Amino acid sequence: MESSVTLVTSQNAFDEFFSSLMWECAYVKESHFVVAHWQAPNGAIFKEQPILRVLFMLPCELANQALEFIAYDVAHYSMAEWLDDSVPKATIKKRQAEATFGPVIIKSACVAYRWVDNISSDRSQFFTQEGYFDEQGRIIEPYNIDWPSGMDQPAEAVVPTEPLSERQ
Amino acid sequence: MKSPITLLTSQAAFDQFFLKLDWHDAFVKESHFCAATWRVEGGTRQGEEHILRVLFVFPSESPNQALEIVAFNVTNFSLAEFLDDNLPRAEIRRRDAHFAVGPFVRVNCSSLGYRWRDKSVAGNKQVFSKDNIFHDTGEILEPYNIDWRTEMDLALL
Repeated sequence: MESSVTLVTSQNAFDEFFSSLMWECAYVKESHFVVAHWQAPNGAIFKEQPILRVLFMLPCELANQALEFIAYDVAHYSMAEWLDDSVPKATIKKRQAEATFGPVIIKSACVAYRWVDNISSDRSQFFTQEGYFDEQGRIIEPYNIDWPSGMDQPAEAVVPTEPLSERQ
Repeated sequence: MKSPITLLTSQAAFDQFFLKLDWHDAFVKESHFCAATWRVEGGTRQGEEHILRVLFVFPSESPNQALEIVAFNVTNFSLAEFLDDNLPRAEIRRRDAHFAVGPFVRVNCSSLGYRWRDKSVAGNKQVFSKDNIFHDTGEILEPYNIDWRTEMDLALL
């Protein structure tokens, strides 16, 4: 069974998880970016939101597992293999996330992660076995999460500080 | 048979091919970077390969084709889907290639090649999630297994 994706819904959630990992000697093993597009008969192009998946190896943390980082609705990103032993940083907002792993910088609307088993540091490739869409064009598990609703939840959970009558 | 990769062996080769394409509305559809490393016992790094593939779509040029750019021995890169109707720029040297287009696309590597992908790439198709770069035994697969170092040397003779 596929490991499920954990959405990073707050600054605290990012800091708590990513700062707890050993990033010494960590590196990018693989990355995959894709955007679906259609062309109308008149030539107009329609595009879906781009997605980026990055596979981080953390040799000091786990030898045969990798951390898959998923960025939804990617604006742009910079990539390098080595992370210069940097501890990740991020700014997480409701529809905006900027994550920095040393020279790796990813600007997107939302980010998530999951652990992937049985990834070794040899030549095996992960994203050529694990697509993002199925043959019918549906986003496959575990990537098919409703991230906009997931990001809205924390804000909705906040109790209004002003009376409802004044808000109307 | 897979379409072979054409290596960019000179600045003139880049200008001649890339600047003739219609980059209006062009965009990046897909990219795949793979750093394959293998180690000996004790954790000492023994060897490595870094290959980046980027798929460009040219709606004004060829709606059902895409141009795959292959970067060998990649140092770093930055990408975005959006190219802002810019023309590409590159510096091609013997072991040093820099490619850029638009405000966010930059690739720094040792050598660059390209090929057309014939099949339709429209819709939810993913090209790179079907094609491996490396075999399980570690060999680089066709058409990526070109001897780019020798080709670059021969081009300068």
